[in-house]
Amino acid sequence: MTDLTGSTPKTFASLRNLDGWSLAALAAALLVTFPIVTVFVLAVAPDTPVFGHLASTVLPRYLRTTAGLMLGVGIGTAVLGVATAWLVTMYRFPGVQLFQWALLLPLAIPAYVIAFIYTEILDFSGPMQTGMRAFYGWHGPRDYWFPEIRSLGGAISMMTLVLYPYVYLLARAAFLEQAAGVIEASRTLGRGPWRTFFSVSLPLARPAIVIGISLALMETLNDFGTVDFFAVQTLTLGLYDVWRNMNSLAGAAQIACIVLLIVIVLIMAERYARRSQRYFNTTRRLNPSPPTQLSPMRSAIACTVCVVPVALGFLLPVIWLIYDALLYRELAETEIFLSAAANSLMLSSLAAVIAVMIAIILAYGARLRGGALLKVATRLANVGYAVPGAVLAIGVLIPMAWFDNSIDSFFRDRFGVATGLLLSGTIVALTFGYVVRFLALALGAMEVSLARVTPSIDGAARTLGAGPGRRLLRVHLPIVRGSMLAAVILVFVDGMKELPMTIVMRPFNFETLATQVHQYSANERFAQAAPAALGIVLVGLLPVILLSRAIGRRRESLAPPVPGIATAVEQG
Amino acid sequence: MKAKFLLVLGLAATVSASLAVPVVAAEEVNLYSNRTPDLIAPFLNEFTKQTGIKVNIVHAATGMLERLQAEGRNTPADVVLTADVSRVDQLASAALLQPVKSALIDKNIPAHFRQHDGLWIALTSRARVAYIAKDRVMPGAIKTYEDLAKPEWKGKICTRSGKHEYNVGLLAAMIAEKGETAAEDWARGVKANLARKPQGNDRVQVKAIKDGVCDVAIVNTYYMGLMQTNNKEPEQKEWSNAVNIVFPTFDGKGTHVNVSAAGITKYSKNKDNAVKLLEFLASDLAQKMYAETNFEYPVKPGAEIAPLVKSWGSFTAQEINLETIAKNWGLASKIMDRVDFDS
Amino acid sequence: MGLGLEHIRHAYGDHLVFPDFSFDIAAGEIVCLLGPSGCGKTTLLRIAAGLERQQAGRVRLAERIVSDDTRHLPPEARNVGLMFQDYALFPHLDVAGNVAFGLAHLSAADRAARVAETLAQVGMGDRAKAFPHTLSGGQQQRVALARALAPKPAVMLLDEPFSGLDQYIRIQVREETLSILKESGVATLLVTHHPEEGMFMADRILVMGPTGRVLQEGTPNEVYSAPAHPYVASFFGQINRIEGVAQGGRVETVLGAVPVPGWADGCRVEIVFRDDAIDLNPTGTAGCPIEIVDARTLGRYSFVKFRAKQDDKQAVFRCRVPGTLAASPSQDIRAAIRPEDAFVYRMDDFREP
Repeated sequence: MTDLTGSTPKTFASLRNLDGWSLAALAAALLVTFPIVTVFVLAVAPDTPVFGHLASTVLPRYLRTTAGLMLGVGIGTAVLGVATAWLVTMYRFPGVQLFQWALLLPLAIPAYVIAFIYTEILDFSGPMQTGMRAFYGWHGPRDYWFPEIRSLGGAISMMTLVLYPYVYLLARAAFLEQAAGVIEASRTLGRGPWRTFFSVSLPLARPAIVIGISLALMETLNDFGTVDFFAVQTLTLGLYDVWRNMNSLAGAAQIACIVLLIVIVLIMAERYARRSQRYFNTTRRLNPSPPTQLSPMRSAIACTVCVVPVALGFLLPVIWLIYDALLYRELAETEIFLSAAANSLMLSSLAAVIAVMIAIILAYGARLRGGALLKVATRLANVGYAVPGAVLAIGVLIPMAWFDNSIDSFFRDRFGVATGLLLSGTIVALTFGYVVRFLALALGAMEVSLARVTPSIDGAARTLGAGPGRRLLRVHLPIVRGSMLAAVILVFVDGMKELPMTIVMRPFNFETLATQVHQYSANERFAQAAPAALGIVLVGLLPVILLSRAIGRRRESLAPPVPGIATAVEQG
Repeated sequence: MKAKFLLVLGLAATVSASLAVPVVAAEEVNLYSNRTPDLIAPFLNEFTKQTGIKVNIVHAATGMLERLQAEGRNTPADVVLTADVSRVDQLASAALLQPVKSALIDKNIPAHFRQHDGLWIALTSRARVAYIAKDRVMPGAIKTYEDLAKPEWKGKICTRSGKHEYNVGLLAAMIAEKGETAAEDWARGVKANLARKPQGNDRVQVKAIKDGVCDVAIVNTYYMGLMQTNNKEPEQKEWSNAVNIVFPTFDGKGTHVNVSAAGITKYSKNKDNAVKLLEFLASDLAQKMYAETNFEYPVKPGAEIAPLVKSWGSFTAQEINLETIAKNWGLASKIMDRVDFDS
Repeated sequence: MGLGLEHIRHAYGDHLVFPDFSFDIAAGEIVCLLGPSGCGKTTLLRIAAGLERQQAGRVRLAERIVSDDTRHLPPEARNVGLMFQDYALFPHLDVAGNVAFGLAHLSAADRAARVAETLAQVGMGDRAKAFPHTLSGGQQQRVALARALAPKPAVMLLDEPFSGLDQYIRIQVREETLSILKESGVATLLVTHHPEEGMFMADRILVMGPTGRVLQEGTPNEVYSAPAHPYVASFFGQINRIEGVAQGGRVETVLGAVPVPGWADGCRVEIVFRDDAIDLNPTGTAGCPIEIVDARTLGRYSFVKFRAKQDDKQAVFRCRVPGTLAASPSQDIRAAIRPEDAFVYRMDDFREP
């Protein structure tokens, strides 16, 4: 979305010779862009002066808290993700092969779930403080100081624990990809392993790490469950407050646009900071250095660094969930629970497959003939990930209902038959919402991996008589199969956790595991939420393990399944 | 071209028809609700049992208004249920509801619990009261809501977020009683007395009293019942044992109650069934069930109240038209911002 | 003394790269390690740099033992300049940043001065702000050289430094590199499989066989004109081989006799001669009669394949003669080995290279 006016002639040029592929791509791009455009339109709608009230009262605090939260989660996920990725990629120590995939596990746990578990554990009457009081002989809360979990710091910790895997995933892929040569060159130029890490490996992995962090931050920005629970006053919390209590959807949309603006400014600032650098290797020789065996002492440290996030971000919460779920296991045997599980599976799989298909159409269409219109629409489609889900849901709802009602009117006028709502309030609509929300995950992966299929491969296929469709099916897709799998899995796992859109858009009598969790956790009946939460985690587990095995195989095949997941996003 | 278009359309219609719940069916009623699902399930089951009318439900915590608005005349929803008065009044203001006409409802639900055009009715009420530490607060120490803003309680009060509908509703009622300025002073005073930053839900405040974090908490009545009867998590019983309930008043003018409410959508396709459902929810049986299963207070005067609920004490509800509270809602929310209640 | 490797032994798993390897490089000397791909040259370089640790033996750098059985100085503490085959320029740093990378110990001003100086030396002074991906192959090579030289290393290690360049600029870059290395007076170990490169650059050449043993060590002229092993001879150009037996101080071959004064009668020998060690005589006056199999002219030279008419084995020989070979098949062409350019080896000594 850099230069709209300047590229108009190109748009027309591309419109003049549209083929089926670019037409499909353009249609898909416009379709998924509709909801985001709708949010923009809502924001400019004339409305009561809510914004003035906000600006003079709570908005500065929302902004401060949001900045603090993003800073904290940004640093937290970066440190945790990069450190663990570096350790398991470059070193050998006991358990390293286990950690390579186990470090991804927290991805399967929704932030709001981990938030309520840690509140139980760390609260005054939780096992932690109770134990400390028994040990030290304290009595009341005024006898000692204990960090408050329901705080900004608490929210940062919770989100870091479940979001660092994005950074880990991408940083690891980047580290695996780095040619050994540059690292060795740095060593011979007098820089030890640590300084080499900071002056060479880290800067080289920077684009990937930035994408990982931006994914984590976008999730942070649109999180409502955790910040609401911890009473951390972020922009998103304010957004719901304005919408709910001041009955101002426009005000909410305005805040959503501020959120988007923040994302775009951050991304552009980062890109500006490395504007002249290019990050592909000057060498084609990919020769990853063999991992170094660590001494027992260092192994112990490395193990600890890897154990902590897995234990805190996965093991402990899951054990807690199992305990609570057993308490209320009859809830898992109800018909509603089973259908909720089936619905979650179906929706997430559908959304994952469709999102990846759309991503392929967009990425491949852009490759065949990238017009400016398609480019802008694609970039816009990406930022949907940063819009709080409920607002985006309204963005989907309005144009879709308009479509349904227009058809209905048409049929009423012409044939005297009412068609009613064809799509609104159906699974079709909800699936579409998921696709819009999670497209960024799929699109980034597909764009980057398709870009790695060199033009000469295209050329070779063309001279052998393969048209665009055959090239895609027989050449591109087999080559990028790994990335495709990764994209499907990421969307799937996020889909399992999706809550706000489902709540706004779901059909009658329709539950997912996430709405089941919400039903109870909204009233802080955590133990009753546990069976459904455990369901989300367990269903999300399998793909996470698959994903990590796919990355593991990369080393041999050198066909990276998870390249920059959202360079598309970062080009936003 | 046109034929092709119709073909596609027909296909889409078939697909969506097979996926969607049939919109028009003889014995059905369709609900959009933001009440806690398992709290209303017993009522809906009882309704189906009595009438044979199937209830379809969408639990929509957010976006109900936008969804109804977007769906327009084709909305499948017949009835809306909300956990508070402001939401349902917002629907009424947006012209999404139609008047409920029923002699039974007019008889059972007092006028101040109904919208003046009959666009919505209140079904149950919960008193927003003070829970006090049994061992640390004298029973007579708090008589009015105004007491909560007095300096003597500095550092002793707990409550959930000031932006939660229960607290916004309380402040909206305070505005109705005392005017904007006094209400703002009051909110500022309570804020100054808080033992900690507002957080958690109502139950957590009771737990905080048990833990000694604070002595007084602003909490809804029915949580007492939920905690006292929680056999699976017996620690909640302990929390409830640590507190007594007192019913503050607005300077003697009654205790604030928040209500759950219901209305019928403007474009309801099953209007008869919708009216039947609302009548059922206003009936003696349902009104009695509210107290028994949910520990709420019936809005029907003289309806039987469960013994456990009775044991907390009796009170007089504030005599106020609920519409006034709904109209003050936005202002109350802004005042919460102005006094920085949640910081 | 610059660099010394003593009794280095190294293996990857079961594959023994070299059993026992030693050599020294004096200060200011340029030594070339010449050997076929896969003979372990690069491994040796990495051991010298400290990127890998040998399984046995010692590495000395400027009179200091940097690695033996008990200690191993990491690469960053050795002060060696290593130029990688693929240059391994840091893509995230510009040219100046790359060159300054090894100068962290200098003050900012000194660093800038040294960067400017080194870049000027390689003729890249005007591209200091360019990023590696914008440079041509030759320019990247020069930046890599400058980067390695900038910290004034005790020894320079070059791994196939010209292999990434095309034929045309390779010659030019080679000359420049040599003059820069000579100018800086640094002890240099260069690894290549390109004999011509070794000949051009080195003061001394070590030729390695495919199994990691040193077959010969000497000046470029020595190893070229007196190869100690048939394999060494084969390295410097197309060769022909004939087996024979010493008899009366000479060996009779299908292309004439080669004198082997003093060799015992009956000693089995292999005669190796390059393609320019044959005199071709189109007029049928001297030498053995031959039959031309194929002849191709390259302008200044012609390559000729032929068989000796009396040869029972019908072996094909290759030779290179100046100008264009003007001969018709019917002509009586004769050929003879120039004995002074033929190398004779005892077969018992050199079963395997």
